[in-house]
Amino acid sequence: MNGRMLRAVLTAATLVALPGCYESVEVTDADGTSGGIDIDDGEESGDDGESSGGLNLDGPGTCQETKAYFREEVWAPFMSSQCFACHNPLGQAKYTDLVLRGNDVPGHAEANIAAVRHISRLQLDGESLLLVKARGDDAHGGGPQLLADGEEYEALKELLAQLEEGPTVCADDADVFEYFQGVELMEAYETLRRVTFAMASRLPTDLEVSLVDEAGHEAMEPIIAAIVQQDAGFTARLLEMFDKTLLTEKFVGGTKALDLLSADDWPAKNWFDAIADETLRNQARSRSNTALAREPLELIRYIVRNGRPMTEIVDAPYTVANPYLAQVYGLDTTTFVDLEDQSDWKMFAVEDFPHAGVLTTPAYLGRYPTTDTNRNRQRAQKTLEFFLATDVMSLGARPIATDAVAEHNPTLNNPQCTSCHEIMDPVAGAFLNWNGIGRFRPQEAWYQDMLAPGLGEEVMPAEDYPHSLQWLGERIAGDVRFSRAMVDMVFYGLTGQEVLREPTDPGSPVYAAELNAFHVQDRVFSDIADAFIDEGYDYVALVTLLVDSGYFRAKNVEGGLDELRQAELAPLGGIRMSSPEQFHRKLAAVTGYTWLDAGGSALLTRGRPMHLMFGGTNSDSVVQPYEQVNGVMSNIISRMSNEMACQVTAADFALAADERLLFPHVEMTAIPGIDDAAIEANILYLHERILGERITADDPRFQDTLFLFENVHADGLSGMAAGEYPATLIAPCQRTTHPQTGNPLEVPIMDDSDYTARAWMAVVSAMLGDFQFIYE
Amino acid sequence: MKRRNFFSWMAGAGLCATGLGRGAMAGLGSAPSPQAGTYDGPFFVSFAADGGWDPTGFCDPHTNLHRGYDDSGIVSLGGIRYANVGDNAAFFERFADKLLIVNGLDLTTNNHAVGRRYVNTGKQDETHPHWAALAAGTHGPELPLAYVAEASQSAAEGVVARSRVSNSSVLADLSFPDRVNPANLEDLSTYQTEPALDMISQWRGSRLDRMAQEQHLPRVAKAAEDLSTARLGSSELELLAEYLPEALASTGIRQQMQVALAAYAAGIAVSATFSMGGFDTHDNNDARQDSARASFLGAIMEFWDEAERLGVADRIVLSVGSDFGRTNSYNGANGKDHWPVTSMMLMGQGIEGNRTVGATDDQQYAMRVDPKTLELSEDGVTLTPAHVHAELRKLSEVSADLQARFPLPTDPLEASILGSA
Repeated sequence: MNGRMLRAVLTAATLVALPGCYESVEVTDADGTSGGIDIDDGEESGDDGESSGGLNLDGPGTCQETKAYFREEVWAPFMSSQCFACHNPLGQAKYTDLVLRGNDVPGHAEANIAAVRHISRLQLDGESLLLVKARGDDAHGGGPQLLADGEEYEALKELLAQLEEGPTVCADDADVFEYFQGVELMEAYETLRRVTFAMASRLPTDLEVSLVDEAGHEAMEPIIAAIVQQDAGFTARLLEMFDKTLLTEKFVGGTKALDLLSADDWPAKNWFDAIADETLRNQARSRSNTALAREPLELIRYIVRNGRPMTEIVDAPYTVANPYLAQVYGLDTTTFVDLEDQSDWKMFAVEDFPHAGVLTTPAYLGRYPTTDTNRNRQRAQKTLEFFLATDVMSLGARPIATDAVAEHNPTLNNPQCTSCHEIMDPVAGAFLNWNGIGRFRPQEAWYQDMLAPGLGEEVMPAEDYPHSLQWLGERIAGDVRFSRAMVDMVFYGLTGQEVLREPTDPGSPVYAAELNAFHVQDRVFSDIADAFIDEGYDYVALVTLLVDSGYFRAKNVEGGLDELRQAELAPLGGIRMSSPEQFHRKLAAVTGYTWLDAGGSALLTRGRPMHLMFGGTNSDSVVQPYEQVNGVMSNIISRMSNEMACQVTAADFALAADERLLFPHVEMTAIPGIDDAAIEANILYLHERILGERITADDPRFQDTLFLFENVHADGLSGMAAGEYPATLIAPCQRTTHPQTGNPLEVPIMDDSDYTARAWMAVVSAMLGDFQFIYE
Repeated sequence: MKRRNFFSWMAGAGLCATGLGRGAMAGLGSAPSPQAGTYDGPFFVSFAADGGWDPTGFCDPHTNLHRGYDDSGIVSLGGIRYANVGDNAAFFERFADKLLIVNGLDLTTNNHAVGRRYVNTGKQDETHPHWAALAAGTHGPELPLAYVAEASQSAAEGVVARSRVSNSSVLADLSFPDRVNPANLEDLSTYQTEPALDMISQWRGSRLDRMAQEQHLPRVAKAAEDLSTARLGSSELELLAEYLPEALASTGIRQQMQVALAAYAAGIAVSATFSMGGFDTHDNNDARQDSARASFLGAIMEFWDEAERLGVADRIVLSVGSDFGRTNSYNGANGKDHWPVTSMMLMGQGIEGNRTVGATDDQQYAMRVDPKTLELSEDGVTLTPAHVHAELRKLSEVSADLQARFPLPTDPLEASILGSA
């Protein structure tokens, strides 16, 4: 059975991974053997502990000299600045035979080599026209750019010679293969654990573990599909993953989202004012505001959860609404069974409203407001960045002269400004029907002193103005850059790592290494983008491809790296500090309990006291998570591990052994020297449950933990004997009621005269503060 | 102060940090250290006016470029001149003797993100950390609040962990993470016994040691090293409580400033960044700039008030800047758009005050200065933030290693912009 069949089995069997539902469910095929899985010989690409970065490679190559030469000797030193300034798709030389692609365009190196090769065939008096023009001859519009006796001119000549002889072009796979040489990848189980935490904030189910144990990474695609389609934990994670980019969660709280709407446009927007009961009215207002704020993210969730193509994110001719948002918009709510069910999102189309996916949602438009002088440029810049992988701001990093700003209408007339504005301004024009705060105000014309609405060189016909963003959304969806933008966005959401940008400093001692790292990642992700298109822009397919790549699975590399190799491998190793929200849910998933303050409120969730201090973001003033742990976070971890270990140890022991999440193999009465087998079994279990480590008793990590347990226990016994330690647990660590029923325990867990509870508490506390638990 | 070598991490070392910083900044006349194992050099602070301020409205006055004043509205106080509009006078009257104004800085960009980076790091692209991060990375990366990064642009680029303290209500809990009842300083009971805490620390240290030996992916090894570093000084967070004011602001920049200054006074912070918005005035420029600037300069004055209360004002090194300047004419909405020429203001320990370096002409173009004398000279150089940062790095004694990792695009001028204080 292949991955798709596995997916069907998982779905059909409704093996839904629900929080707290970790029971093993046996799956058997018709022949009752392996759950219908065709188990291979375990030699699947990538499962052998080394990676090809997610590509199927033919084998190691040895070269790419011409391409490397172009990058390092021609493009970086001068062509990317001197030539590209005019010879770009929108520059002054856009109608010449040499049109180059910028660093922000995926695959630009290959495209630019092809352009140079093309023009190198044009000659004047037996000499390459490119060299003639570079010297400033033959009426070159840009005048002389290179000195005929200079190094750069020689480099250009050498490149042309290589191209004429036939460029030394090896399979691109060679770069990727060499890059990943010596890199050790996660085993399937490790990948699975990372996937379930990343996508659903939970541990893998027994079924999922059994599937990957049998089928390896082949089982990942159906598992991911099941998570996307049915896992309750996926909802929150999906919103978080896409909000990292869109930042529309800014409007959750108060009436920040509702304030974006005009009552003239949406007469029912304050529908809840008719509710007599103040508490219910406030609740309805709050839920309505949240629904409006979440409309773009819920639309994305609707698209991916229903297996619809992700292109609908920008061109869906509909939106989604739950009962609260439907009432805000004045839509027919009769299709809802429960008008208080916030989770019930359905497809709607507002009459006479030109929906274009998230582009026309109030939260998206309001998140990126505009002014009379900005004229939708911020919206254009963000739309280009999010959905076309085009960073206009990086183009704006090139120096400009003050004169350029001072002249008449520089954004239209001065080449130093038009290099950005010719990309940005047509897209800005496409937002012509939405005012500064995102209200729909149809226009018949756009500013005459700006470029006409459009995308790239395609101008929007005036008859399309009434539905301008639909026009734009359809073109974005059809643009090859959209798929790459989705790869970048989903990767960032999954891992918290931004894709690499091309290094800009050729003088850096590690420039070549960083450049290679960039190109390899660009190659791998571009291939994934192509495959994503082939899969019909399917989210599950995209996540599966990314998860299978070395960028998700790399966990170690052979030692002895020199400085260059270290710089080259810097992007690898998806490990990162858990976000506070993730950490909050992970604690609950692993221990069964959340970390709360004395008043019973969560401490790490958004808006709570420790959220921002633990590196959280708020989609508004704080949007960059911490890159590394600081001293305050270290103390947060210490307090959390102390309090949680105190709380959960006795509580877990209060359950029957087969119901326990932490101590299923041992009783509180088990003491070292007598019950060693049970103690050892439970330590091994805790290593897997809390730290994700599947180890055996001969592993030094196990020995360390056993040593910790035994020594805390021994110290406790001697301390009690000396009268220094009490024989009972301190009050917050005691348990007098059943954790599930709330009924009084027959034997309250207060006494710890064997000192075993506190020894286990130390083990749990140690593990909850360990690197492997904090980082995921 | 040097980062402890991760590879020589010893079990149990996470419980305390030793020998941090004492005398490291002797060249700047360090004040006595409040406690062993803490930082006692200058406090490096950056304030950013987000959005792009209009220097003609305060530190670079031109009557032909601003509608809010005429010649009588320009006040000279020794070596500085300012436009007497809005609430400017309170700031300039107070700090005239300390203040260094650098006018005519050409950022060669009118892009918010690029300009902000240039002013904060000395380089336009995304590769460099904020100057304040370099200072913290040099002098105390292991301190629990080494780099209080509250500003919108506070890039650290891996040289030090960024910190922010957004809610003071939990500081007691975090200062004494092992105690059961941290709010009651008389109650010293802990969740674990002291021996158990030591053994837990040893267990975690042993595992990090093993990682250091076995893990070679730079990113993972760096993460483990960061955790080890963070644990080194985390126990010193308890020093903070002693210096916090009784009337601690509940939220916002006031609380940020109070906590940062208390952390510095406690010896557990090296640098801090703050920012305030409201300066992107494409419409109604003058009134909106006046309002934003009043809040912004007011915050700096409050910061100084608190520094004086704590007795550390003489050890502050302050840099103040913005994304860029605003155009030399008004648009149709009485606003001003983006303009690449701007100003910075600096003051504090090691900075010679009551001076202005650089200038703009009557159309707000940057005027060149002689690199040997800083006098205006057509044959001179155009000032950029890189020139300022070259000297800020020198003043803050940024390590040679970090200087090499993050080189500036220009050399320092022969004459010192910061002067000799």
